[in-house]
Amino acid sequence: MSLETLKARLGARLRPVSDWSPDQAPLRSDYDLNPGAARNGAPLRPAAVLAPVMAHEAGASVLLTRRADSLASHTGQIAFPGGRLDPGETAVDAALREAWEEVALPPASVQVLGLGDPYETGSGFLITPVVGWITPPVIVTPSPDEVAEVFETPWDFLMDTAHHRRDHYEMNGARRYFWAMPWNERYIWGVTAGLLKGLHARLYGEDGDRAAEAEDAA
Amino acid sequence: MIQAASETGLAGVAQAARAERGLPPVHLWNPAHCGDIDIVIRADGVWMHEGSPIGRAELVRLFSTVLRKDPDGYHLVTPVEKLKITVDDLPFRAVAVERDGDELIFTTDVGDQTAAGPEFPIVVETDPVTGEPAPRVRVRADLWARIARPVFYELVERAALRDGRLIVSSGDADFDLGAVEAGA
Repeated sequence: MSLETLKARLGARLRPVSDWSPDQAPLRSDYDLNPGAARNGAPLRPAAVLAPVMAHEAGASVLLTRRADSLASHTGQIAFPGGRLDPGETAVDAALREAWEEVALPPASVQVLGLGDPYETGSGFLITPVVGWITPPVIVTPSPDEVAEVFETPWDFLMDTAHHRRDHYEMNGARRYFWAMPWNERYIWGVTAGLLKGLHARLYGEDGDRAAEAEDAA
Repeated sequence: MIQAASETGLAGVAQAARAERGLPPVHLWNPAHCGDIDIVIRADGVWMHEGSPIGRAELVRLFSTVLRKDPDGYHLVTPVEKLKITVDDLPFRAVAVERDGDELIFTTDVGDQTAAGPEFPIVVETDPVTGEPAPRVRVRADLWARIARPVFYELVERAALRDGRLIVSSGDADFDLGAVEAGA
């Protein structure tokens, strides 16, 4: 896919940064796949992640982290840089701050292209995905307390619905479904996969606009 | 003469709990007198006394510090008496989880904090009656907290996948949250 086409699509299809407000309602949710599951009713806690799109000449990729609280095994939990909003922060502020704290990505190297849909997690967070465009070279360094590893996964792989899987586990007698996008030996799943699925829907349509994908891939 | 040990009933329970900084040494108390008191800890964490909720959080907190589980059930224990109460599910609920270094710190509905580890495991078991899996974590002695649903989801979000199972680690121990099944 040409970088120009992708960047233009992101700019056209993402929500403008000015759309963000602290009391926005979620548009996507862990509950989308689990409509019968009960919520606990507490107010959602605002959070933000940075979805860093790395604009490599050979093709775009998405920067992801493996969190330090996971096991030493390479199948550990995978996430975007991100976290809770500090008081007074916007989603963009928090996403850039967390990316700096977790992987030392300089905020000045990130061109914010827009926002994905606010996403409600089962654990009570309301996550705003902030999509950043980053032109390499850029040096990232994982903070050892928070991040075990930083890696990149090709954009084309993540945006191909053939790689979007609906896995589940059992909780309180019911199946709890979530998105999973296993890439090589890495299991991208849960909230992170749900956020990627949301980006896919916003860019290419809910069911995967194959024509648009093909157009971008051409 | 230590006056603190003289009261009985709820007043005595409150007195025994207040007499100590931190948690009273309930494991050392073997009072001669035993009785029942009409207190029920409901599954949702509300403490009921004679059919009415105990509204004051600090009072519930106080009573929770002299709670002990014996082979014959849950009791509020003071140096002079042991009062049996009813616990519908588990005495506490884990309402928040935070990571501190390599430990997961749970906070209960009465304000206790417990770091999961080999002594304080996270257990997901199947209820023999309903057949439903239910997660819990040990808080102290043989007192456990039911892990609230959003807290369980937060654990799952922190879990790693190993051999098809969701695993969280805390305090040099690994805890199995259940199996993941691949879909389409």
